Amino acid sequence: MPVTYEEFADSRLGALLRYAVMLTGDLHTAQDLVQDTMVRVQLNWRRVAGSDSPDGYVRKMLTNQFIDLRRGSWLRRVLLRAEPDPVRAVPFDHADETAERDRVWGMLAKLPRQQRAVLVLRYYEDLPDADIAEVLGCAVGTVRSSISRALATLRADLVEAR
Amino acid sequence: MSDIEEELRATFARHESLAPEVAQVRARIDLAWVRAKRRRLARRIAGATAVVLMTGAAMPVVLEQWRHGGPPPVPLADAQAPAPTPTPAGPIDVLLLGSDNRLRWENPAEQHADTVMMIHVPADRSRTYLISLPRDGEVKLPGGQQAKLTETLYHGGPELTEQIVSELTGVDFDARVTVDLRALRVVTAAVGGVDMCLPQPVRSLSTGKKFPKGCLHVGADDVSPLLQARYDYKHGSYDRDRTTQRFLRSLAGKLTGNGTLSDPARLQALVRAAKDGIDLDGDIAALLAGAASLGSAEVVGVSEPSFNSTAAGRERIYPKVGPALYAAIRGDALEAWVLGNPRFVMK
Repeated sequence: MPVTYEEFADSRLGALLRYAVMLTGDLHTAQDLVQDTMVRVQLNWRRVAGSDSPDGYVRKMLTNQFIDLRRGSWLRRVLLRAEPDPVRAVPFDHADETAERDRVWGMLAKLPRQQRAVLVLRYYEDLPDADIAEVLGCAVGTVRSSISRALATLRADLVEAR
Repeated sequence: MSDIEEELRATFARHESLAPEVAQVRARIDLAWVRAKRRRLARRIAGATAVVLMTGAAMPVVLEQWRHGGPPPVPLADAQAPAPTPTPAGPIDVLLLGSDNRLRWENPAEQHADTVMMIHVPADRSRTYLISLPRDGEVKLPGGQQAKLTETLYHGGPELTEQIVSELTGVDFDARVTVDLRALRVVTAAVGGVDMCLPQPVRSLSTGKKFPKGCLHVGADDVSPLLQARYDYKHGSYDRDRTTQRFLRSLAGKLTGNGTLSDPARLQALVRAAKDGIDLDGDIAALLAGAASLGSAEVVGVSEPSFNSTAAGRERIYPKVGPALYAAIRGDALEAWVLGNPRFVMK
C-alpha cells in the first residue's frame, strides 16, 4: 500500500486518468477532473491514506465530483468554457465496426452522469454491484436498476441508428 | 453476455488511448497544489481566527500579550510564509462559558453561566463540535450540596465550573474561555451581522424584541435579546442552547467565508474592541496552534432534545447517552456517536 502521496500518484495516476476519460468522454475534462481531485487528495492525504483502500477512496472522490453538480466548482468552470471537443474517432482497421463502436461512445455522452458512472464501473473497472454501490453511496438495487435502464437506452438508440 | 455489454467493454478499451499523458498532468497537478496550499493557508488563518473568536474572542488577549513582549504574532502577520504550520497531534477540548455578567449589576462578580458548552476539535480537524450542557443541570458542589450547573459560576467562578464539568465528563480541557455578550456583540458588528435561521419564533421578555420564525439577519443589537431569551421556548434553555449553537455556527461561517479576518488591520481593530468581554485560562498556545491547523469550519451542535427534570426542579444532564457521549469525546470518536444519535444533533 502506498504510504506517501508521491508514491500514490506515481502508481495510480495513469489508471485514474483512464477512468476519468471513460467517465467524461473527453480528455480535457478528464484532465481537469483528475487535477482537482488530486489536489483535494493532497489536502486530505491523512484521511485518504488512513482509509481501508486509498485507491477506492480516491475513485469515490473522483466519481462523486463527476456526478455531483451541487459541489461542482470544477463543473461550473468546465461548463462555462467553450463547447466540449467533439467525440474523436479512434483509427481502427474495420471502418464499419469503428463507426458502430464510436456510436456507442457518443451515446454514452447522452446518458445521465450517474448511469454513465455505473456503466464505467461495471464494464470498464469490472466492479461487482456491491462495490459500485459503495462508490456511489447508493443501494445495490439502485445500481442494478441504473445499469438496466442505461443498457435499455443504449439498445434502443442502437436499434434506431441501424 | 449481451451484445451491448460486449460492445461497451470494447468501446471503453479502445478509448483508453484518449487518456492524457501522465507526466504532463502530474506537472499541472503540482502547480495547482502550490496554489491550493497558498489558499489553504489563508483559509486556515481565517479558520483559526473564527474558532478562537468563537471560543469567546480569545484572540484579543493573546495578541495583547504578544504585543507586550510575548512571542511575535507570526501566524497572523505573514500570510505568504511557506506554511510553518505546527501540527499538534491529538484532539483539542475547550470549555466555553457564556456568563450573564452585566455591568449594570451592583456586584459584577455575581454571575451565572447561561451557556456551558464543550468545544471539541477532533485530531483530524475535520469539524468543530459544540456540546451544550443544560444550565439547570444538577451537579454536586465540593461541599456535597446539590446545585444547578449555572450556579457554579457564582459559587466558585469559572474554575469551579470547569472542575465540575471535568469530574462529570472525565474530559480534561486544554483551555477554558469565559465570554459575555459584549464580545459576541463586537464580533458580530465587525462581520456586519450574521444570517441565521430560527425553527421557531423567539421573543425577548426583557427587551420586547421579537424574532420571527425563519431566516433573518442578526445585527449587533440583536445579539443580546436573541441569545438571552429563554422563557418563551417550549423547551426553555435547551432550545436556547440550540439557538446559541446556530448563532455560533453562522458566525463561524461568516468569519471563514468572507475573509474579513485575513485582513490584519481589521483584525487588530476587532481585537481591541472585543477584549473586555472575555476571560481566558489554559494552554493558549496549544489552543491557537490547534485552531491554526483547521481546514474546515463545519460546526456540529449537540444538545439534549427534551426535558429530564428532577423532583427538585433541576435537570439531569444527558441521563441516557451521557456515558457514551463523554467516552466519545475522550476517545475522539464523536463522528460515530453523532451518526448514531441524530436526535441530539442540531439541524
